[in-house]
Amino acid sequence: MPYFYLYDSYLQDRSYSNQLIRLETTITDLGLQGKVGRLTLLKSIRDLIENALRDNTDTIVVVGNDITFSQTAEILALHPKITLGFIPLGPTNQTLAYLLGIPLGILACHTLSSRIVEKINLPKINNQSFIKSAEAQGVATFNCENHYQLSVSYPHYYKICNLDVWGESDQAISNPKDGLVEVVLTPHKPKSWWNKFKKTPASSPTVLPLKNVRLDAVGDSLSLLIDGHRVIKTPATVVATGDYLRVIVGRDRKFK
Amino acid sequence: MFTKSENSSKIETVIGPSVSIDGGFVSQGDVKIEGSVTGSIVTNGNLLVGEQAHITANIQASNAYIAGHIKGNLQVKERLELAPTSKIDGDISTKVLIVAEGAQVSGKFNMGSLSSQALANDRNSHKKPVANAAV
Repeated sequence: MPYFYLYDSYLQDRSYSNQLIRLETTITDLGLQGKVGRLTLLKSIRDLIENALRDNTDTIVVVGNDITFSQTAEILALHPKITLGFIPLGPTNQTLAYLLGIPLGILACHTLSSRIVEKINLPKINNQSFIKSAEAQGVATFNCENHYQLSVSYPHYYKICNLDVWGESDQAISNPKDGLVEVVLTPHKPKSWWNKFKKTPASSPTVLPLKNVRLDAVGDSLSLLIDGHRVIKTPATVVATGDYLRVIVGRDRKFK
Repeated sequence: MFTKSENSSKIETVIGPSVSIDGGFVSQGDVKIEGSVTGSIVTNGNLLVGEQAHITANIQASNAYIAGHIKGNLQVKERLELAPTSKIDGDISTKVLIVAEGAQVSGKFNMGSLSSQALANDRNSHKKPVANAAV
């Protein structure tokens, strides 16, 4: 079972060197050793993954954060037989680790060792795969399932989630195995002295689980931030395709 | 009725007070509406219509709790509950009906076990009219 470890470039910082040494020792102790590829300015994720696949790797383990994981997932969309593991290192951008039930740091090696594999949906936005979510804000209309149109009269914050959270409650978590994306609209009133006196509607969000949704801006086009690292402009069509990714998850994952 | 803990496999849809929907809204799970909807609403699950909701649509649901304003016909397979703040301008077809003091209804009632059959027939053929003994 050949493993390939993909290290993000921020792990070259000295502050991570001790953690990486301990991590590599644990990986060896658990018998999970494999080749290591390090992201640099000259080596892209795509190059490293394609090289690993040529070496018959069947498990790619991302060592990094949400952005490293989602960039890898986008490339692996074309390789559904490959299993994706995750060792979250670093204090920021670790929402996916929480949702997948993977502990931060070296403890994640034990999750790898347990090897519970789940098939996670990979929806597409304008024909490009994403794993986590797409975010935007402004005034927009949504054409849902080609059946009905949803509109708002003032700016909202939009989040189209596949594997993400949209609120603080335990139920504000999307299910990445249901074959749908959760479209969440939260009212967003700009702060102004006039709004202090205006009667504003309650700020409870709208949540719609959908298979197919098209987002159009009212007026100027809106920017959509996908998985925290890629930006596209509206109009955008999101389709929950049947594509999936095999991901090693922990017992404490937030979806069933 | 609308918590995930009771039935985690069901999907919950929430239409907040700040949005409006136009067209044929279809859902497989529980639906909570607090905004405005124009067109039609069909759900296999439970429907909750909040006080602030304004709906101009024909509605089909398994169970429903209505506290808002509806202009259109209501076909509820099992149990329909009308809150004191509810106002319905349309015909109602259901098996079990609970009406709170203050609820306003302008329309015909069609009740009993046959109404669920009528609902199923109506789903299969939209042309076929609901023709049950009116109460």
